[in-house]
Amino acid sequence: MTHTVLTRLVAAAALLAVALMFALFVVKTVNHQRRRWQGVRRAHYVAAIGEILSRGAIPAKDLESWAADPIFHEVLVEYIGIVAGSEGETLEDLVDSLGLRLHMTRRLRRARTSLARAAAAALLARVATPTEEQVLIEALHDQAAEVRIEAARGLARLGSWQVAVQVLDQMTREQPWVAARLADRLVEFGKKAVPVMVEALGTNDLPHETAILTVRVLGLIGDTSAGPILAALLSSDDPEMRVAAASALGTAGGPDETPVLERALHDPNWPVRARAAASLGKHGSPASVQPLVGAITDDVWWVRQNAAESLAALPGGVAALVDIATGTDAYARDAALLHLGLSGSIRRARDRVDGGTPRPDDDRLLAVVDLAAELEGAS
Amino acid sequence: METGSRPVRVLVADDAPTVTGLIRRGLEALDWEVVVFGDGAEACQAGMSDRWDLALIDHLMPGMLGAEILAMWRNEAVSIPTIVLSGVDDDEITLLCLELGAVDFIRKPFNLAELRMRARLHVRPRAAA
Repeated sequence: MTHTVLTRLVAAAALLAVALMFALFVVKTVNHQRRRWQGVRRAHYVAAIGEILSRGAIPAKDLESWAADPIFHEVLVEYIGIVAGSEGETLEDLVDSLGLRLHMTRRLRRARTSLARAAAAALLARVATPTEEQVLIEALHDQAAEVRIEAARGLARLGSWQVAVQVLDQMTREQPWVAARLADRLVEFGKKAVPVMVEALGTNDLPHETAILTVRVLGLIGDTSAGPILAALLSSDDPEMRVAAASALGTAGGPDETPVLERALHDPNWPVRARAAASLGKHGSPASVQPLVGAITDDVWWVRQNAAESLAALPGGVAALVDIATGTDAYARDAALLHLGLSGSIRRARDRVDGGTPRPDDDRLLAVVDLAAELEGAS
Repeated sequence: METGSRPVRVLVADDAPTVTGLIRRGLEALDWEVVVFGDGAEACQAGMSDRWDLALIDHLMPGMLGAEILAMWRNEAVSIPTIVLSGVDDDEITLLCLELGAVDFIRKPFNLAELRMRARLHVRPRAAA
């Protein structure tokens, strides 16, 4: 009895295994054929659009049947990315005449898989007109992160800067990696989006991570109208915010913010001092030379290096570095010599001396460098 | 246009079939012979082992970068008028390629008619030689 039951169980298991293997085989075969058919269609569209472009005319034949095929959309958008001028216009005409934006919109709204919606969003982001703005705004709330990111890219391409605050708002609800990708898209919105971001920062309602990302975005956009709010954030209790603000002020701060950065060279947190030193070099003010000469004796290597690098970039800074290179602080001396070399100051001075057109300080600079090399050799 | 009795032979290297297909059509319309490579290393090898009147190479390719191909050809004294195509908007890359011997640099997106015109300009002196 037991033996019979066992035999039946084994037979059933074997049958099940065979059925599963058969099902797996069918699925794999179907997928293989599907991919093969997609490849054939893709190659066909590549050739067909190439033909359209080389003739400069759009044939009516076949095109209507292609219009609903996502693979045709992909190939066409790929071509839009590589051709310009009259050929670009031919493709734009093709997008218009076939109503491809409508097809992409439908797919973005109706596709069940997030992969298909993300693909549709990516394509629409590259060809959308203001008519599709609302669709992209809706897609900012799609359940798939890739769709939200592509929607933001499309809105940035359209220059819909008013939507930047919605992207910011969305960032507050995102996981860090999605928020960071959305922040990249915010940079693409450009200067027109700066007031929206400045206002959002001013309300203090943004979550910590979003506020930090927003400050970084303002730095990447580099519009000096953000200077005052960034300067205010340099007094924040949060060291991470002060670091972000000090960095951003390098590109998004104007002369009014230079004194604030100089004060930040005395911040208790060394990354803030290091970023402030680097940013002062970008401001280009000769008045920053003295504060940076002070910073080159900082206890922290990064602060000394950034201060020396900035000095090499400022008017009057090279002379200050030469003074430091003859001083008694060995750490400051090393930083000064390193950045006199890295900035090309030594090479340029040597070229001028060799060319018979030296500047007043060139001989002194080269003497200091030679002395340092001698000491190095002797040690 | 022909170089002597044979058609102009062009080496085209890009990993995007859309780009190579488009260039192939554009140049074959001039009765040129176009040979396409999708891999930088293969294109580099072909450049050294065969005779070409012009090369159109992408900068960012699997196998070898466009600049690496130019450097290799220069080391091996291979002289092919080479136009570099690239979607990379980086002046340093442009200058590097020109320093390494490229005769021209075309940014993507490009205009096919303009590319054809530039290609003809760089082939002509060789054809006359």
